[in-house]
Amino acid sequence: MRLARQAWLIFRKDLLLEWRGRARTVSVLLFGVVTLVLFSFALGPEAEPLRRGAAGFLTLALLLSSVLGLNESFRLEQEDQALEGLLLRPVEPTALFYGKALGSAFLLLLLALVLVPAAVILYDLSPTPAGLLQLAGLWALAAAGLAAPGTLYAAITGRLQSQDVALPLLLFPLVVPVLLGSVKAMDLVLTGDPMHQLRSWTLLLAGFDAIYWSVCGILFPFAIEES
Amino acid sequence: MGVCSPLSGWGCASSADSTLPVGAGLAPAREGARPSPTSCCPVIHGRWLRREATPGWYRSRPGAQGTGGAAPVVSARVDTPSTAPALVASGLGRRFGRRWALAHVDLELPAGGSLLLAGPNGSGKTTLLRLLAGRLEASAGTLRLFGLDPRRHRGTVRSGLSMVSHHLSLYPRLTAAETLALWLRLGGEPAPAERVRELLAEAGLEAHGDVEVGAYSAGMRKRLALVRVRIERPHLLLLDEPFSALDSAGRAWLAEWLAGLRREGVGLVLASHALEWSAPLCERAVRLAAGQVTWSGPAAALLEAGG
Amino acid sequence: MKRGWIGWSALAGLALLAVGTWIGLFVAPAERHMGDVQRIMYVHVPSAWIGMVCFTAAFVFAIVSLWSGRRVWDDRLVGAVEVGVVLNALLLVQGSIWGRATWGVWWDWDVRLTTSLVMLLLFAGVLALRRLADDEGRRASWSAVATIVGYVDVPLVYFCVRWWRSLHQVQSTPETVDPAMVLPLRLNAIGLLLVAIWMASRRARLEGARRIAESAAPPARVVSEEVARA
Repeated sequence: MRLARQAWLIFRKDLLLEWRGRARTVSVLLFGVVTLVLFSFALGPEAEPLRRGAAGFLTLALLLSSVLGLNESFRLEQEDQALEGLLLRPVEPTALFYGKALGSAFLLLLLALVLVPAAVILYDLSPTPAGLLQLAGLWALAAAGLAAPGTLYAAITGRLQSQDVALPLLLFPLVVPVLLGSVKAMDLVLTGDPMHQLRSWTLLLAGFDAIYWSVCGILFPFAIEES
Repeated sequence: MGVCSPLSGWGCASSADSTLPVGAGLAPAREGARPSPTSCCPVIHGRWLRREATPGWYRSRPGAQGTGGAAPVVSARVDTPSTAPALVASGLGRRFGRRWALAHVDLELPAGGSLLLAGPNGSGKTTLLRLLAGRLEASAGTLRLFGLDPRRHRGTVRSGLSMVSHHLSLYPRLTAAETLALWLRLGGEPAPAERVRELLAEAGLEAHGDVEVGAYSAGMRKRLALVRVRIERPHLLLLDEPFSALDSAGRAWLAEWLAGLRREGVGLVLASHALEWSAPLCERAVRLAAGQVTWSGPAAALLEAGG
Repeated sequence: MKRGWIGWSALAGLALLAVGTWIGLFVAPAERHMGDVQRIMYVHVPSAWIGMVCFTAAFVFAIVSLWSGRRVWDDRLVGAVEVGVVLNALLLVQGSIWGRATWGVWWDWDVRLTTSLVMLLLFAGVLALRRLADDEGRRASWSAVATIVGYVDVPLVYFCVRWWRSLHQVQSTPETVDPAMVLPLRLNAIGLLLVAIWMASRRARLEGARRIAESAAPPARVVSEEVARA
């Protein structure tokens, strides 16, 4: 299917470009770690509050790092007006959306590899292997939930002068459900789930992802076309 | 079709062919050589082409095989209509806030025709090209490309168009080979190494195929962007100052290359200051000033008048 | 004429609001648990309802704006969003006052209050985006996109916050309303709706006028020299 093929090619292209410019990607990862450290300073050296808030800190670190990653994804296209070339190829705008959103989600997923171990060390967590697997899955859902609306808004704000402030302003209120769902579910994994709520929160996150990925995909052509 | 590159000298391998009339769009106008208005005469070029072994990817354009006579019928793609005029603009205008960058523009271009846009900076040439490419919507007037409304039939119109503007739309971190392979695959075609090499050779970049585009000189990047047009196989090519950033060998290469495209029946809308290079490539010309057409006529006449 | 009709019905709406508020403040019985403080409900609940109506209208206008591409729908979108944002902001202030009086705190992460806060941020973001976009066409399509995405998000936020709070106490906002309280509530709701429609349509007209003032007619046509084909 043409749409799927083009989306896949865009995704691969983005990954290749991220790899070639990996100094920038590493900086985003480090930024995530710095954020985690700052939370420790904000809350004090006592282990217990840090442990209880770990899920929240991880999610917030993901959220703040995502803005950097999302802006970067479109900066690549702006450099030489590469986006114009793609649209005139022609590449379906919807394929462009899904390709770029997948690329951003992948980058956010990479963050997990760095941030989860960092959090385990800094906040003195002790997750079980099963727990780590669950965390990975939840992280994937959260990353997907941020990537889709993030890509849509990055396409819009990328064209603005004040893009670095406009993207968080628009995105953060929108992803409150992802934020809440991710924090709650990760907290259940890390600190125990006596009432077996994890399944419902996971389904909630998955539902959000499904809605965001379809609605944002439908709206993306309107955001990207000049009029 | 011979491989045209600065390395193979001025013009194509077939430049020794004596059936080609001098000034048939292959060289900048030299003193005394007056290019004829119908310099892209299909009969002669069709005959000329039939002699060469045409590579597979040319066969998509039946007119290039030398049907001769009337303007070549471009019917490569099932979706894009072939005999409709390439471009019909009526009362076209575009406003940015209070300022009308373009107003009351009427243009018509038959299938396979060529048009030169001349005029000082800020006269609206780039805006007009962006309108034609569908990257801007008109604030006034109507525009039909290949007989279709570009807003209603975006994909179809875009697949018949190509544009190379100031911004070359290249990714600095991709190599030339990767850029071309990506472009091929985006159109659903396979990207075998020979095909990519062929294209690189056409641009004279085969020695630098695996270097990142960001390391290229401006001229090399321009040639890569232009050769990418081959992959798109457009019915209409829009060019914004293509001769800028090229040295004289590069300009000669470009003139030759564009002439080749014209022989295949590709329409051309060219905005350029370099009249001595661009006018011979085009049949008609319009001069723009402050967003409006102030002069229209044969490109040769514009050249004579000095632009 | 339509313009006059909206204006007259707005006056009727103001009258209804006056009557409804008077009844609510002085005639309707005080609530069993909260006493007179509960009377804030007569502005609070209509604000919530009509705010939601405004945003729903904005959602519809956004879809039509993207579909038709006509700028007049963008004007209407602005009217609806701005009135909705104002009502939403008032809602938060009222809710905070009510909360202070009944629970003793200015903010309590109550489901509806939290959802309203997020809704306010979402639609205020739409208005902020409009300021940042310079081109008219972009402004219209981006506002519409942000409105649609924001509106779709509202029920998600509501359900999510409700689950988030499910382990906490349920707030004492009355679910069943005494029949004697229904009348002022409905009067206020209808009154507020009429006033809101009037404000939104005035704002839409203002936006349309501003849009036209920011544009200009094309310059006079220049006579072009035509050289015949050789």
